[in-house]
This record gives sequence, C-alpha cells and structure tokens, in this order.
Amino acid sequence: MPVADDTTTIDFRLPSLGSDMDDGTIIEWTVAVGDSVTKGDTLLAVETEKGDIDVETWDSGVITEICAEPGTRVPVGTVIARIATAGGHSPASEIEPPPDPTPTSAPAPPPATPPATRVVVSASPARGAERPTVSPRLVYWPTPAGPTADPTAAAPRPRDDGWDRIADPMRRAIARTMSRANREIPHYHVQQTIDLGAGQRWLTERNENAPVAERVVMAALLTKATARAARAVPELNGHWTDEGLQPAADVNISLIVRRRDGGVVAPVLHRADQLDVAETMSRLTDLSTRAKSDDLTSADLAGATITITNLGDRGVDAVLGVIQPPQVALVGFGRTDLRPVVADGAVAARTTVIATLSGDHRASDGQTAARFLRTLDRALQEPETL
Amino acid sequence: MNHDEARTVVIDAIGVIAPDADPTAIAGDDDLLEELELDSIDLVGIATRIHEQTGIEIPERDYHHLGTFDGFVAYVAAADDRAQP
Repeated sequence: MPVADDTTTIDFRLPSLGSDMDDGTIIEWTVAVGDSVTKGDTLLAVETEKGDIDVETWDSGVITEICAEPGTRVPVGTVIARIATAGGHSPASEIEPPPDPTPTSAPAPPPATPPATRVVVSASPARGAERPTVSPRLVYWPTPAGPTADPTAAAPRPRDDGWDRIADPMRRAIARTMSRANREIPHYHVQQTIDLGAGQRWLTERNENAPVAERVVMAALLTKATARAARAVPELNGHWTDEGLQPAADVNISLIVRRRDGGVVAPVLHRADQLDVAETMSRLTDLSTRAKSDDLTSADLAGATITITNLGDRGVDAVLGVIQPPQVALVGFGRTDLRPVVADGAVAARTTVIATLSGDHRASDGQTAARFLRTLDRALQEPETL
Repeated sequence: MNHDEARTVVIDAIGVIAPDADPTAIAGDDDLLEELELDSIDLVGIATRIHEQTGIEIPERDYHHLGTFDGFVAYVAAADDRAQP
C-alpha cells in the first residue's frame, strides 16, 4: 500500500521468538504513530512463555499504524504495526542480514491464516499483500513438517493438549518443544571422551597473564571448537524443512542457559565460527548475564542453527540432549575432570570432557556425527589455532 | 580488610552477577556454586566485580578458596596480608 511514489508501507508482524511459540501478549509499545524508527530500534515488549522480550525492527521509517493494543494476545505472524519506509523497502541483500535459519530462496509466503504446513513468517515485512518478499529475518511457524509429521498435528495445536496442567509457563513451553522434538525427530546419540590437557594448559597460561576481566573459561573454548566443527560438517548445522536438510550459511549456536528460577532460555551466539576465543568469551558472558536477568531481545533468540548444552558446571558426566526443531543437531558437554585414560599402555589421570552429539537421522547418521566429534577433538588439541 | 567489610564485598559482587541469588540464605560452609547455581562464567564475573570495587586480584589458581561463602569471605579478608611484601 504505497503512501507516495517513493514510500512503501510495510507490515510489521509478531515474530516467532522460539521454536514453539504460538502467540504473545503485547506488554507495551515504546513507539507511537508518527515516530521515526531506525533499524534495530525496539518497538515493543512482548510477554511470551519464555519471558518478556523486546522486539526490534529491521526497517527504518515512520510508524503509520499500531494494530494491537497493550494487553492483547496475538498469534505469531499477526500484523501488529505498519511502517512507512522512504524509498521503498530495501532489498534483502542491502540489509545487513541478521542470521537467518532459512535460505532466501525459501518458498511460500505466509498465508493470512495459520497455515497447515510449515511456512515462514517475518517481523520484517513484505512489500505488497499478494506477493511478500522473503526478508532476511525469517523464523519458523511452529508446525510439524515432512513426511514423518503427524497429519493431525499440522493444524494449530489446541492449548488444552495436556500441557496446561503444567503450572509454570516456561516449563510448559519446554515440555511442548521437547515433546514435539521427540515426536518428530528420529534421534541418535554418539559420545566421545576428549582430552582437554592441551586446552587447560593453554587457558591457564593465558589467564595467568590476563587481567581478570579478560579471563577465558573452558566453556568458551568448547563453544569455539564446536563452531569450527559445525562449519566443517554442514550436515549438522542447519534446519530440517519440507525440502529436507537445509544447511545454514552461518554457524549460529543456541546456548542453553539455566536460570536460577529453574527454567532455561536459549540465546543465540551468532556467527560463532567468525569469533576468536576472546570474542566468544565476551559474547557468552553478555548473553548469559542477559538471559539470567530477562534482558534478551528478539534478535538474541533468532536464527539458531545448532545447540550447545553444557552441564559441566553442574557436575554430570555427560548429557544426551534433545534437539530443538527445526535444528538437526545438539552438542552436549559434561564435567571437565580428571579421569583415568590409557596412554602408552598405562593408566594415567588426564583432564577430559565427555562430548556428545544428538543428531537427526533424517539429516545425518552416526558416521557424520563421528566426523563432527573428531573435528571437535582435533580443534581442542590445538587451542592456539582457535 | 576486616571480616565484615569482606563479607559486604562478597555479597555485593554476588548480588551484581546473580541478583536473584541470596548468599546470606545459605550456610557458610555450603557449596557456593551449587547452592546458588553459579557457573564458571558467573565466577569470572564475581572476581571481576571484586577487582573493580577493591583492587583485589583473585588469580584463577585461587578459585578453590571460593568454594564456600565463608571461604570466599576469609580469602577476601586476607587479601591485604597477601599483598604485603
């Protein structure tokens, strides 16, 4: 709906902020009709089952309409505001794209009503009503897909499917996502014990000479090594879609962060393969702190291509995790500890970690996972190259 | 630094990094990381905060002193003595 020749009005839709988010409640708008906004500005706060999230715009322009009042609960994909952009909506390639779980050649524009098959919805907008462009900011509508999907589950799920008996909203969201994952994804698990002697020596030496604020913990090294392995094994870094496996261009790691209230949130470390160890540490610290203090934005939760769950600080030996759909793999780390290892024909005490990989058998098999864990192992034997 | 000052410093640092955790609600000899569900990243944050507030350096090799609330407070209280030539 052009306002003038060089102005385009675009629909701002409620984005999906998690793999199983169906709707959100508008808490408040931080902008009003007539306000100018710039890409990255927070427009509103939304209450979801995973906490309160600030939602940002990926377009610059003037707010021409606000379509959902505070207190309203709206489904994902609903148009909640309109923005007039000068010079039309910039092509996807000109926007510095936030990491994107879906290739830009993705099909099917979102229909007006909740779809029966997987579609993409977008907080960033489409030009014109009949043929929306697929913007760089795409997230999945939480519906099952593919030949293995239960056809009765393809319709929007009723809210009384048993989860409502779980009182805590975050626990309910976790239960729904994990139930869907276990229903749809044929999981397999492999594990490998990795010697961390080299990594630990490297960290100790580095931290001994570093100011406290620049110290790096083992979790950062493991995350960086995982990013390298994900880059090397594209079958495990991407999404399962109606068209099958779609390897992702970037490595965006979803980090399972435990909150002291018992829930978990999964902020995303974007383009982890392009960060060095120091950058990885500072981004981990930032995401972890904000995840625990309810200070994440929609951008922090979007675009994950693989997950890490690290239970090392909680003392377990190993964790065999459940994949977050539509991702196809999850890496688990247990406790870093001295364990007996046979080396040169004798038992020796070595610092090790048990790394596991949960994979989606539709997309890969144990061989692929073994290659992933070998790459991870090798990277950790050469920490100076990370 | 006396014991009470050290206690204030430790409670402040934990409060900044883990605002929803209450270190005074646990026994002094409980496992601090376990009881307050702190992780290694939190621990670096706490050490950083204490350094910023007091100048006290907590090298990584001394982290094992920080396992309990009482141990942590005693470590911070003794920091001046260690710094003496």
